Amino acid sequence: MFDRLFYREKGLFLQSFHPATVLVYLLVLLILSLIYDHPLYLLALFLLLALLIREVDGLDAWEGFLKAGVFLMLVVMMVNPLVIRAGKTIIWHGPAVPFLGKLDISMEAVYFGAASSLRLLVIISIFCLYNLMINPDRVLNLFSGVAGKSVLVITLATRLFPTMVRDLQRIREVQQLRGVDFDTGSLWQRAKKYSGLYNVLLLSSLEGAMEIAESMQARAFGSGKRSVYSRNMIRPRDLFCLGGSLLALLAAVWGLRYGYGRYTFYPEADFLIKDGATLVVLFIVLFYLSVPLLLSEGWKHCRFLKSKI
Amino acid sequence: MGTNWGLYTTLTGILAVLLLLSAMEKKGALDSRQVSVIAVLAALCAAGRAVTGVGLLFLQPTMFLVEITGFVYGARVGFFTGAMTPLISNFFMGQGSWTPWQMLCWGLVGVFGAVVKALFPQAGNKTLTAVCFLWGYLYGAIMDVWQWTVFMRPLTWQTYLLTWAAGFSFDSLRAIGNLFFCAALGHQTLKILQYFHKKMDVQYLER
Repeated sequence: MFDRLFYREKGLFLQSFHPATVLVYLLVLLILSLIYDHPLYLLALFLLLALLIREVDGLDAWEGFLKAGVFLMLVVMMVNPLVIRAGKTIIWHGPAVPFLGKLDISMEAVYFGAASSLRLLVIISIFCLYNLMINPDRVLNLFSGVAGKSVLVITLATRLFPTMVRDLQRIREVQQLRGVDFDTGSLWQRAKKYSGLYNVLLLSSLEGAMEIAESMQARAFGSGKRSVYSRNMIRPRDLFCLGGSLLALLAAVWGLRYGYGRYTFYPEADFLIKDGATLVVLFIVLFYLSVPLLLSEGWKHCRFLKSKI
Repeated sequence: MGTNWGLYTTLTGILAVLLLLSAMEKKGALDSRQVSVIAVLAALCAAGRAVTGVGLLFLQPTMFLVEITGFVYGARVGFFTGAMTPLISNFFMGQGSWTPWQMLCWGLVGVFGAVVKALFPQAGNKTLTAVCFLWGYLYGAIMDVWQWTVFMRPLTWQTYLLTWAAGFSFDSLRAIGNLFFCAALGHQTLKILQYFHKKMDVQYLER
């Protein structure tokens, strides 16, 4: 499980963007998912993300992410109705509880809980997409100019991570050959055997750290200004995608100033679609956000577009 | 419902982490030994968090290591080791908007180790174990702040306490795991880290 990263290079169009583009695009999605209250808008974002995740061939990974989110979602859906008293339509009169007061569950609170959990799913999906779409090495490369040491530590540790899992296996096997049986004995005895394993791992890793430090010193670490080599290209697809995300953000902020994307749950829930403009604003924002999706489709089906982006 | 606290808390977390990490970039802040020790300990912690986090639920042999690192090597190394732990294990488990706050929490565990050192220089493994047990709960309480502001409305004490209560069993598991692992392994870890601390400490007589 730990011999490779979560990210897999599949040579897909959506994985070929410049890392900065992907970061901006996903940041815009994240901001939108946090500023929108409107269930319809959140649902639209969720569908868009589902399409994008399908496009990076990540439906299986997405399922894992969503499963992890279900517990959090249940908490959100339970807590909200229990404590919110602002709703007008009471669907269940509960008993009085000492700490919380009278347990009246209102329709609006349930509704709000559902909308919040939808937002939770959207956020989880955004990060699922991040993990599928962008190679962490390229993100680190992007920041290596401004934050050399942090990136060095992260790269070193990420590289050492699978080594440690392997080392642990190796030490275990060596001890087994010497007659330590990890599967027998009482819990306390077994814990003792495992603690021996841990000590050896800690000692040998720190010994390795010393060697790494000496080797860094020998390569003149920290002796002067660092040089940076980067091979990321900005292509037309990146410009289209960047433009799309910025326009989407502008359109969304403009819409929010006039109340499109806001939604009042209390004391009584608003209409889902108040007027036509709600849909028009949603459509504009969604159109700008779906630029990567459209480009990806064009890449597959239109040779002219493929040669240009 | 006007103020968007979810957005603000997430952004605050990101900014705080960036600001604190930028301290690492300062020229001469860390030498090559410290950099490699941070990387190795962070990898060890991340491995402990990811491997056992999946298998043993929340019984992770990790938090005490971060804490002892802070205790032995000081606040700076402790913070960076702690902050890197969730970042690196999340490369394998999946990054998310929870990462910045987790980084802050784990970093705080490391800093707190250094605080213990400052308050009780002679503290042994018993003190560290007690602190580690408390941090099992404190970590949950701080992470709940993030979860609460992003997903709960209205933001009152009742909703916070309910969020906390919902995670109480997980927090207890974490605290008990910390207690168990720190009591069993803390003493040797302390000895090994102190030995390497002495070995690392190089003073140049002449530049």
